[in-house]
Order: sequence, then structure tokens, then C-alpha cells
Amino acid sequence: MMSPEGRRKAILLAVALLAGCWLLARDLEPKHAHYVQAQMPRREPGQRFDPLLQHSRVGNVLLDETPFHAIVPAVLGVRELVASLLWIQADSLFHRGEYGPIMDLIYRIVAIDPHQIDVYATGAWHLAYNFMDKRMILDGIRFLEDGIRNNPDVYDLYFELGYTHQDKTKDFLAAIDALSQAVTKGTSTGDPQPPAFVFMQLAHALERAGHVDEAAEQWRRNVEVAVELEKQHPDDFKYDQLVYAARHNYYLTLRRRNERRAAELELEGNGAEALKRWEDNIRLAQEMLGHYPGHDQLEQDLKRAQTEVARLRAGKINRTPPPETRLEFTVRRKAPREIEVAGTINVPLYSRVRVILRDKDYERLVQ
Amino acid sequence: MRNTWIIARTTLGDALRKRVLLVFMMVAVVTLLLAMMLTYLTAREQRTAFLALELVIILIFGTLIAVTTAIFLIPDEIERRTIYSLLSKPVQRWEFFLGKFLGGVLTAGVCLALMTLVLIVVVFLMAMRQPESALGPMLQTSAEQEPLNVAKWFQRGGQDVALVLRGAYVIFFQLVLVTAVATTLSLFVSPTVNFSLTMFLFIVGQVQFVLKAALERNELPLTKVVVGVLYYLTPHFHDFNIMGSIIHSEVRIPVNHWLFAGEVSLYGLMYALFVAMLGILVFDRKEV
Repeated sequence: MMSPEGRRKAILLAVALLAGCWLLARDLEPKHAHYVQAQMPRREPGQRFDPLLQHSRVGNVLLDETPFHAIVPAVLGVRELVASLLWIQADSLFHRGEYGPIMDLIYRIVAIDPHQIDVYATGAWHLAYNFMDKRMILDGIRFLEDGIRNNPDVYDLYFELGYTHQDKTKDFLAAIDALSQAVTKGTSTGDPQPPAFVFMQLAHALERAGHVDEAAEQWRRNVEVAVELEKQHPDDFKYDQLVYAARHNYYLTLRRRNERRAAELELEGNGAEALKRWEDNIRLAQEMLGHYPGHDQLEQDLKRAQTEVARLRAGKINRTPPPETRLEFTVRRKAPREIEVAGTINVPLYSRVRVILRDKDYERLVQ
Repeated sequence: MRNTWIIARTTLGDALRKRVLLVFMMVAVVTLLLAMMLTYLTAREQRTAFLALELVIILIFGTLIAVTTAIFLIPDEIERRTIYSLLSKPVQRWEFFLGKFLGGVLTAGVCLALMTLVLIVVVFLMAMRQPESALGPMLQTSAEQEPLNVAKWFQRGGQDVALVLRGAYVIFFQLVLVTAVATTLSLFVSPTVNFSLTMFLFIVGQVQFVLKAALERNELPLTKVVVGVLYYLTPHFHDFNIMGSIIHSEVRIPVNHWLFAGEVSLYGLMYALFVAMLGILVFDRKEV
């Protein structure tokens, strides 16, 4: 048995410990709120998941901001577990060919755990690609934007958004916006820089948007990125190829820019400036041949540039304007729900022409 | 303290002889099987699903081991009457109680350490798979086809091991707290009731924020008092839940994680000592 003195001391110690616990709990509460906040989906101002909760007086921020079907996992502190199990179920459904319930499941998963990056990427991929319904492409875009709001610090979803814009909506400016963000973000495993293909994709998007100067500058940076990666992985052949691809694309962009500008200058009658462009192409081809001696295409490019330089030095300026495309077509209704578009266009053989037929009020309908 | 330490060691030995380790073995096998079953997912999906599942399993099994060990620590000694021979020796009652409590903590700690070890091994092996973009195969950048980069593997594996260690460290102090509660309650109630009560407190502690919300928004005075007492007196197990930051380590949170882990473990330790101190005071006067 304790002495009365020992007992008094023990009681005092217990009281001191309780007070200490209370103070610590008060200090921990706001810090732990950051952990809780990080687990909740970020929405646009005023946007709520569940209209039923909009005017609810139940719970604090966590409960207000949590969709109804996510409350149980949130309360039990097992959001990530429930979301992962649902994702395994969604994956099984996909591989069984049961596409119906997948999107519903995917929306639920990201409401429970908004940091499931692969769920966002795959969900958007289903919407924009797999369901074969063009109206769903914009749903996929919106889904990716939601994913970015919740995962703004990693490159993945910016890249997916950029790629989807480039490949599906053909909104190259939006693709550039997204990919420009992607190249500034790190990976989910802590690498400060995204994989090299993100940088390459940005340069392609710039090209396709017609921003040739910016594309050339991006390819120049891509060469730097690729060379740096090659230095870090001297035994990995992949990076050797990456350097080649970046250099080749940088070269092609500059070469084509010079060719087009030279053609414009010749049309304007400015042979001296056009000559400079072709001379620049000789320098570019020689520089590339320094890296890749004996390269067939480069040899041909060099030969062609030398021929053009010789022609221009001889004072022969080609002022033939570019051919008119002269697009002519007729539209004929062949049968109910069937129309025929027939016509001609003056472009070289094997040119690729993209034809889009849309309802008059398509833009309004997709909104 | 020597007596306390001897009792603690003996308690650990007794507990381990009760085949608690079998539970650990089962968890270890299930863990490995699950890890193997999830390889059809991408590396990141596999890691997320695996870590989420395993951390919850470790917490639940750890809690069950801690509670089922602690609820029998003192009642068994009383029932078998071995307590009389112990207390007839120059052993203070507080030393006995503290020794039993420490023995319970050691048992939970050993089981947690073994489960964590298995998790660390599996997580480290899983880090061998390189993460890839969901569009990777379409862009012919599938990480699966790339040669293994050992430096990157060790970097990823090291990061994941550090994360698991932080999670296990925080879980350990939850178990210390649960053991203290169950050991002290075992002085008042039978093991079955003790199990239910401890689990009730554990669950209430996990949903502290609901109590807080109810406290802030409730207008009925009586329920406000009841909820207030529950909120301020029950241990805040909810604060120990940092699983999200371990599973999604890429999410930035304006908190120093290790500092928070240190602070929350201090809270767990202090609360456990407070509860143990109550137990010591009660046991000191208890008729056995």
C-alpha cells in the first residue's frame, strides 16, 4: 500500500498528466485538421456533392463537405481503404465488360478519396475514349479538371488533360495550358521533374497550335532535359533514344520554319533573306550530322539546302505562289439519316484532310 | 523499478505463449497473399490499395491483440491466485500494476513490430515496380518494360519504409493507450465487459470530430453536457489517424509530419500514464 504522501503525489501527478493531455489535445486539434482537410475533395466555391447536405446543420466542416456515401468511411477513418476496395471492384467490372456501373462507382471513389490519381485518369479515359460517345469527351475533361483541383501538386492529371485536349477535343491552346503546368510539377513518388514524355508532349501541342517559335524553344529545352537524363543514366539505351528524338524534332522544327520563311521571302522577292534561311538549314543539317554521321535523311536535307543555296546565289528566285486549295463540295441527302458529301480539293496526294460535320448548334448542345 | 521490469518481462513471455504470434503469422501470410493478388493493378494503384489495407489491418489486429491481452492481465492473476504469492514478496502493488501494464505494452509492441516488419519487406519489394502514367501504354512509355533501376528502387523503397515506420510509430502509441485503458478497466469489470467498454472508447475516440460538431451545434443543455464530458474525457484516438498522409504522401500538408507524430505520441503516452495512474491508485486500495 502506498503511504498517504505517496498517494497524494500520485494524485497530483495524475491531475498534471490530465492537464497536459488536455493542453496537448487543444494544440493537436488544428494541426490534425490539416490532415482531415487534405482527405476531403476540393470543390469550386459553392459546389456541393449532395444537395441534401447543402442546408444540413449536421456536423462540422468535414461532415458538411463530405458526400453522403462517403460519410461512413470518413467517420471511421478508412477513406483510402474503402476507395481502394471499390476501385478493385470497378477494375473487375471493366474486365468483365460490365461498363454500366463503372462511372457511378468511379465518381463515388473520388468523392471518398480524392487523391486516387489513377481513378481520375482511368475514369476520364473511359469517358473520353472507351464509351464511344463524343458527348462524353467533355465529361472526361471536367472529370480531369476536378482531379487537378484535388491533386494540384503532381504532373499526372495535367498531362492527362493536356493529352485529351490534344487528341480528342483538338483544343490545342487548352492542351498547351495543361501541359505547361504539367512540366512544372513533380511525380507522386517525389521526383521533382515529370517524365520526359511530358516535355515532348508540350512541344507537340505547341506545334499543333501553330506556335512554331515556342515549339522550337520547347524542343531546345527538351534536348537539354534529355541530355541531362542521359548523363544520369549512361547505360540506359532509352535515354540515348530520347536525346535523338529531342534533337531530331528540334532540328525538324527549325528546318521547316526556315523552309517556310524562305518560301515567303522568295514570294516577296527578297532572295537575300531567303538565302540566309537556306544557309541556316545547311548549318543545322551539318550540326546534326556531327551528332549522327551518315544519317540518310540528314544527308538528303543537306543536299537539298545546298541546291537551294546554289540556286539563290545564281539569282534564281521562285515567285510562284502556293497552290490554291480550291475546295469544292456538294452535300446530298441520300436516304433518311444518310448524307453524301462529295467534292474536290487541290492538295498533294496522300495529304491528310480532317472533315468535321456538326449540328448547327453543336457548341450549345455540348454545353 | 527492477520488480516492475521482471513482471513486465514475465507478462510478455506469458502472452506470447498464448499463441498471440499465430495471429501475427496469419496477418503476415494474408499480407503477402494480398500483395501478390494486386499485381494486376498499376504500381501506384497497388501501392495505394495495399498500404490502405495493411495499415487498417495492423491497427485493427494491433488493437485486438492489445485489448485481448490487457483485459486478462490482472483478472487471470487473481483467478489463479498467483497474485497472492506475488504480493507476499517485497513487491509494491503499484510495481505489480505497472509491470502488468508494461508487459501488455511490450506484447502489443512486439506483435506490432513483427507485423510492421512484414509490411516493410513487402512495401520495399513493391517499390521495385516503377510507377507509370495511366496513358503510359498508349504512349509506349510503359514503365513495366524498363530495366530495373536499383538506385530509384532503393529511393522509392526507402521513402515508403520511412512512411510505414511513421505510421507504425503512431499506431504503437494508440496501442499503449488502449492497453492502459483495458488494464485499468480490468480492475472494475469482467473481461467480456472490459473488452466491450474498451472497444467502445476506442471507437468513440475515432469519431471525436462528430462529438465536437455535436458539442458546437447542439442546443439542448443536457445532451451538450453529456457530449461535452464524453469529448473532453475520452482519449482522442482520432488525432492518431494520419493514414491519408502515408498512403498519399504526395499531398502537401502544412504540418511537419514527424513533429506531429512526436506530439501525438506524447499525448498518447501522457494519457496512458494518466489512465495507468488511476489504475495504480485504485489497485492500491483494492481487495484482491
